[in-house]
Amino acid sequence: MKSRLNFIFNAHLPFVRHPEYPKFLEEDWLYEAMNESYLPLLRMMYRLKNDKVPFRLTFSLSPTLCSMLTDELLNERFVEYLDQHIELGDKEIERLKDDPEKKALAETFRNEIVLNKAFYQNECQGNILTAFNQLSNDGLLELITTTATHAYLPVYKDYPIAVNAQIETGVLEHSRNFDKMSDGFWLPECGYYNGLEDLLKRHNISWVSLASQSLILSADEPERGSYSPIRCPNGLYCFIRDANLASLVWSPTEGYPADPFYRDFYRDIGFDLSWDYIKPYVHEPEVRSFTGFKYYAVTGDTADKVVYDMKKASERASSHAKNFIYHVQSRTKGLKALIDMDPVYTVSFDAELFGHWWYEGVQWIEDLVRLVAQTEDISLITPTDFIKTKPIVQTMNPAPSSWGVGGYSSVWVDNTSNAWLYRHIFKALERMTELAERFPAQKSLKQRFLNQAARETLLLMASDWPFIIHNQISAEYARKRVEGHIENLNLVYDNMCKNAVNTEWLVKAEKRDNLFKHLDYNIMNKNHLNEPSPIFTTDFSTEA
Amino acid sequence: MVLINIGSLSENELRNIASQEDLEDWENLSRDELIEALEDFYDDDDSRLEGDSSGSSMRKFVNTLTDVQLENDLSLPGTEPLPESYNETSIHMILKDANWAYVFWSLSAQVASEFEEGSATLVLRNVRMNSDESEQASYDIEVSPSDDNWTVELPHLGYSYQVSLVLKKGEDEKVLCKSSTVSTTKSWLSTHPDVLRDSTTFMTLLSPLVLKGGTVLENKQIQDLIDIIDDDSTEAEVSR
Repeated sequence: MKSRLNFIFNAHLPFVRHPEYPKFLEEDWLYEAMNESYLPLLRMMYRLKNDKVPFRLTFSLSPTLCSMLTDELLNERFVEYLDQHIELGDKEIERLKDDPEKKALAETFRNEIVLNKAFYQNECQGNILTAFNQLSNDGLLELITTTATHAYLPVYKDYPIAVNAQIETGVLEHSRNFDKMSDGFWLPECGYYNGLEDLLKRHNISWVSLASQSLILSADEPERGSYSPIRCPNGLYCFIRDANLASLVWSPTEGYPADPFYRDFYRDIGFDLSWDYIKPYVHEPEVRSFTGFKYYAVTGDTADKVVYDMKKASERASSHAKNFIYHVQSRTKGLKALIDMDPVYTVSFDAELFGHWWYEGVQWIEDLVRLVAQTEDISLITPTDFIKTKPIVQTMNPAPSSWGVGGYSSVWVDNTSNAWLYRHIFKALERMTELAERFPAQKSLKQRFLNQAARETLLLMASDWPFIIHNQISAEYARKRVEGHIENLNLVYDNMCKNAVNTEWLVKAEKRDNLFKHLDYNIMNKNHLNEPSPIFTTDFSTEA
Repeated sequence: MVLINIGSLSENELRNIASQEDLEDWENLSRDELIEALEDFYDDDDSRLEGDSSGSSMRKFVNTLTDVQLENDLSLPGTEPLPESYNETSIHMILKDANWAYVFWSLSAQVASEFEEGSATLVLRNVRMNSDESEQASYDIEVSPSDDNWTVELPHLGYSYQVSLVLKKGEDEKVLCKSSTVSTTKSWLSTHPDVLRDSTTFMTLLSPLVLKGGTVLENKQIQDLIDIIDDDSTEAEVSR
């Protein structure tokens, strides 16, 4: 019996772009993810490729992330960010000249940034998507898309036009970015409700990944457990996340990243050093933030942390890769008498866990892939690989579910923090639909006005804002963002009802929220759902 | 707040957080006192983190340890602050989890004045429906003029529910608005305990849900399934 490992990485960040400010704290989310996760992951996969190590992994790249990764301003700012942090590294090496242990760490962290910059400018040509696409063309990655702004779909069940707009924009943006259709679709937060599969199949989506409990809680009899994907009655394949294997990595208290030898995420010179020293590398006014220069190991629940030992941490990462393989093999041995097929283990994570949160996580994946390549009874597959084998799988309806706390929607619909948003969000969706129906086929300025309203509508649906408000991190920014998008939509609504266009607003909104430049507001017209998906009819080569 | 290991932060970090959060007398607190004060401050958050092994427990992204008080105005020219409500009578229901839904409503100015001035009472009616959408059972919750949302229990899985706002005057009732229906799912296994008790089924279906520490994925319906097996084991013990 052979184990099939199906790794899915969800790379996503909300759209944050503020050209109106020279430097903006929340834009660092992108630069940190690029420098600490995406580029290290790409460099690792290029190493594997150059060493001719075979692998198959799946990456979901969200449309908002892709928009930012291809944005000229943000890419320019990213290079400035890298240069600043290289300069900080130089200062650290000088500051630590009498502390060889930490000086060696500073040199490593600085050199990592230099290597990232070289890779970004050479292999990526200033566009990270280029490297992802190359690995896809090399047959090593399956790239997929998700909803336009990572909207958590179960809360929008009563708004199928808006749900369709999220899905449709996602698949169209993917085709534009990668010159090929997305076979799979990442459901944000694994959020699923019965009936969603029909909107997905409309756009030629073949598969999704669902939360671990979606099978066992189904109204239909489950036959093989999550070891075998299932198929919805309409033909959509569902790959069920294996909570057991995911917990080896994901749990902040029990997972591999909690190992005492690994680098501590929180202990960072951005908080430890004097304000005068760190000021150029953080934010005004006196806002300390992470710099990536972290010299201590997790150690334990103590302030007296030991200095980070890279060699020991590297050994632990290798050991944890072996441990993961061991768990897979043990599970499969136990399944021999239980199921009639080679088991498929679907393991999905947010991509930013690796490198950013869990510094050694990138090495862990690399070691794991190299081990799998040497192991006969385990293989890496992608969902599309599996489907191509024309497998016999059970047809059934999965249960509504998400991977959030409790397994449903309580994180995104929380009475104590974020539920109030939906009164305004739903009204905005109704108004946008009304505008699309009352003013179809507008041209020129009104068309631009309505297209921008459609962008604002997609942006206000992002799952990130209720999630952040729920978790009380950057909640003030999240609240302002979601309120701002609703206010923008209300402005367009009020103007259009008066047969007016606020051009000052339009110019500024187009300049700041400049994503999805091909978005047509008629996507929010209910009649649009009666037409075939534009994924079959759009000639992307002729788009301006 | 990202304080998974608050006790492991340095005094510098703790002081920085305490100052950002404007904790009283933070300059004069010792390290232990700072930890205690911050733990109290973030009490609610800590409880949210405990035992949370699902995807959302891992913070998506963070580059500060505190919530920065954003002074920047992000509004674009010409926009107006959000209204408290919209002048319409409507009701919405969103499923929060298997058994609970979040309900919110608006009353138009006309309806609101009718409600506030007269002797009428306003009730939130939760209706359980048959598959043909006829009413099977219902219960009323009286709400006050200041209420605009409620968390409603959907006690029986496998049914659809619909909430409505009803204005009552003596024996007269006027249905003001109705929500869309929300369906709940009753798992097949919960009605087939014999299958669930089979060790092969148990291994095949439940083993992928057992986490590293030996606990099962946090989910009330899964726990209910496990309780069926546990009850059975207990009964077997007793009869022995």
